[in-house]
Amino acid sequence: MPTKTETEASKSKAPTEGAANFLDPSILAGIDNLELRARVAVEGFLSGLHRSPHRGFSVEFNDYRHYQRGDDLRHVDWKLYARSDKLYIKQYEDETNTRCMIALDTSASMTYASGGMSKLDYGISVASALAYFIMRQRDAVGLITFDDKLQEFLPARCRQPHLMHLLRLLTQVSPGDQTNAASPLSDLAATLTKKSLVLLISDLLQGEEETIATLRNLRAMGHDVIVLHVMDDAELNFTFDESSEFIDSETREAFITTPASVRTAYLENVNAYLAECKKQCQRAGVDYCLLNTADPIDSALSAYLSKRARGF
Amino acid sequence: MVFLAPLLLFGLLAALIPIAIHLIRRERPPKVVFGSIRFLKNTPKKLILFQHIQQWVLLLLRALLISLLVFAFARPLLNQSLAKLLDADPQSAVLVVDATLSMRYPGVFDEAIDEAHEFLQRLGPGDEAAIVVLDERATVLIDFTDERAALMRVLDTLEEPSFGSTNLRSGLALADEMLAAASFENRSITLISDFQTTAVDELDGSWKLARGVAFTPVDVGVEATQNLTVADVRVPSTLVEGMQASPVLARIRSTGTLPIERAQATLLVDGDIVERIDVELTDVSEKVVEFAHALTGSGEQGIEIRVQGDDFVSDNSRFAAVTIEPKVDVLVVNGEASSDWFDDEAHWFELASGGGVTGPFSVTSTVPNLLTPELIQGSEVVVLLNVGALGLQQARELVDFVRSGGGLLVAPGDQAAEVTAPLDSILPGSLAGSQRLRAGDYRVIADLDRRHPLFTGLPVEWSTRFQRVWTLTPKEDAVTLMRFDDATPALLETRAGEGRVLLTAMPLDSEWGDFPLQPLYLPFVHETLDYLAARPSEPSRYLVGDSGVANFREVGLSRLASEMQDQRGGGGQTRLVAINADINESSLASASVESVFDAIINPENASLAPREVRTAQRMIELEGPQRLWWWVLSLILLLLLAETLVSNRTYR
Repeated sequence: MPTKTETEASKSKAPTEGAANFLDPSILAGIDNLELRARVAVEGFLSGLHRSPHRGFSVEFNDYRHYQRGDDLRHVDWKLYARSDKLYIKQYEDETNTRCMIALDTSASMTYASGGMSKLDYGISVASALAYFIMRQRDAVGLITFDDKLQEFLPARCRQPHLMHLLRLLTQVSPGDQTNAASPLSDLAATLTKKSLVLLISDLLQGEEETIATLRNLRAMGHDVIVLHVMDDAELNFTFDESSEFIDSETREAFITTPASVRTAYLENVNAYLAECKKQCQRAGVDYCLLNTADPIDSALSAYLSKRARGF
Repeated sequence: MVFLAPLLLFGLLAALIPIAIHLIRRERPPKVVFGSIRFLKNTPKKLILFQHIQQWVLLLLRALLISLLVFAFARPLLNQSLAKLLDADPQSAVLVVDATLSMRYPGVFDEAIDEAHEFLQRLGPGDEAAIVVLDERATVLIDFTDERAALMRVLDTLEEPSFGSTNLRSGLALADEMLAAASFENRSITLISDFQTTAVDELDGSWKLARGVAFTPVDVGVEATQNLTVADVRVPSTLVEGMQASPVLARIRSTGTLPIERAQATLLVDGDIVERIDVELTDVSEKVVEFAHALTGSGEQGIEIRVQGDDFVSDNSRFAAVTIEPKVDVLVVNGEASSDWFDDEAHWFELASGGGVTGPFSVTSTVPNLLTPELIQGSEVVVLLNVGALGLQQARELVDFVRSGGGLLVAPGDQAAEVTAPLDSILPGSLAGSQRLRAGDYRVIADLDRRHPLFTGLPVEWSTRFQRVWTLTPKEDAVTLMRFDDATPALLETRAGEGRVLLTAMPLDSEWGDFPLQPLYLPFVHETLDYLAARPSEPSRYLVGDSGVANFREVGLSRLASEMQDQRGGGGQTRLVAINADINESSLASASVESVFDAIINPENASLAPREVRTAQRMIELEGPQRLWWWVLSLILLLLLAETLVSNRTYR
């Protein structure tokens, strides 16, 4: 009989097996360029949803860029060509009516990795993919990073350079200390003047009750909230064999034990915790999605797309 | 329970190794930086406590594993009665120590004593042992006893080997005889020797140890040896004054396994060095040297030939005793003296006996009328040549002379028609008249007693012809030494008191035959006079260990009581004798101990192994039925399984 965690993981499978290959964390971890990583993830994800994500340019001029081979000649600014004897393509800014704020937990507990990708890397990948995806949807996207306080804040924009700015910010993320999501989220709430979608990427290992209470306040303010609960596979299944001294990544507290003797009790504790998190989120009207770092990241995209489809 | 290999029980200390490792290393488990331990902290504490208990169980299991292995290797014997039986298998052992001359080679005897001490140390608590020493003869140093201290004390009294010769059989036979009356059935002989080839060769296989007697040879011989010895000294034991002295000859021999090229031989007379000769032994192992020194003077002289040039000095001298005696006093009574030499009866006889000048005899001639008691008593041998009847007093003097040890030769001629009555009592026969043969006819000597001392030095073939001989009628106690070809006696002998009397049927002059002209005449006269003089000729050379006369223990010159003097009532007279070591003792080549085995081990002993082997076999026999190994190994396997399970549960 599959466990609750396994059931969650099976639900978050990619739409198609072919797309899943591009969303595999182990493949994404091998891509250093965060933009490329986001593009690969989104293109792979979208290839299972649509025939083509490219539908033409918007009418509001935004910027020029050099002509590249393959560009549609209709978008060449011939007047500028006549003046400068160089080919430029005109780019246009699409109109948007959705503002998304991605809140990324960068506390020390997010650095844990039992496999190739830590929870923080996984969260960065998810955040970059979501940002890329959101920008492709012509929606505005912003970012905050926090540990026990707000670290970085980037307001929501929908212009292309903003995406590069956001991705660069994600690239420069450094792990912090302890987690206290309630305060940064309260600060975020104070800055949100329009109805927004808040995407919280966190492991919720410290102060989850206060965090969910803050999210409840956001919901009360009319914002939509999605909690992407990132957990390592070892945290979910406690896949240890050898007796070890386990050190808490945030409190540095040590605990020596033999995994075989405590595995059952541990799993009971974890499952109870996850169930409580999900229950509290649902009670607060917050979408909850558990992400296993061993699984493809399409679960996060699916969660967003599902919310977007419902027209929040 | 007893252990057949108890020393291995020290391995039990290895059981402390796992505990020591646990206490010393106590390495902490690997550190894992985990997301959060909040879910671990809520796990029940009893699991950790149980793990600690498991660790101690694991330690105990590992210590028990090592202990069981040690226990198994120590070979426990559960059946105590059998163990006691095994422990109480005493033996009767005889230690035979070779203490002969060859063991004097440097270092050999010390090693033999060390081996003897080791033998005594190996004796068990209930064992009894005896020690036999093989020097000039096999002697029991100490009879069977189980007191090791007493055996050690007696062994320590053996300071150095003797000069005796090796007789392995005598020592082994004595030990075998002692073991026949020993207390225990487990019997053994241990022989510590250098196993000289000459001694081992004497064990020709005709004599074997008794059945059941184990034999252990301990070879202490040296492989590389250098030795020089005087193998022989050639010099007459008796010389006569005035005679030309024989040269002193000595045989120098290299008997070691390594050659010696040069040596020096020295002649000592009565302890004084008189001559030295350098000996080259480059190409040969033996050389005869001749000393130019002539033995002169009179009386006894001690000769020593000493050789130098090696380290083994115990056999470097050989001794000889020489006695220079005065001439034999011979009184010739001429019954038909004549101024013409060819008619003179004594002429030929004096000529043959040397005439008292050059020969070993001092001859005095007289005629019957002048034969006085003084002349008779001053002689050792009286010869009556063609003497007729003597005076009664003269005859009585002669009888007394013979009975007191004098010698008398009666050679009758044409004058001897009758014999004076008192003299007849000591003669071996009577004269039955003479027979004159026809012309052309003659008598020859056809038979003689070759075993008689008189003839041992004479040739067998006689060609002397006699035209006229006396016919002798032998008495009952007479011995016929020679016969004519008609079977009539030619020479009779008898003993009268201490003296000897010879009566011949043939004249010793040329009147009745050609005997004086024959080559045999001179040696016959010499041998006859020597025989009648009957001078004591006792041996002058002995070997160490010759116990017939005295118990000689060391080589050298010694004085020995003269038996002849005692017989004649002299008493207190001694003679010089030489005592030498057996030349075989100088041969240091060793034989293999296997050949000793082959020669003396009883064939029925083939199935009997030495005690150590028998003990080992008995151990195996007693251990086998226990099958303790199987049980211990099974238990070890079970413990290994348990250890694997517990360790997996503890550290996984």
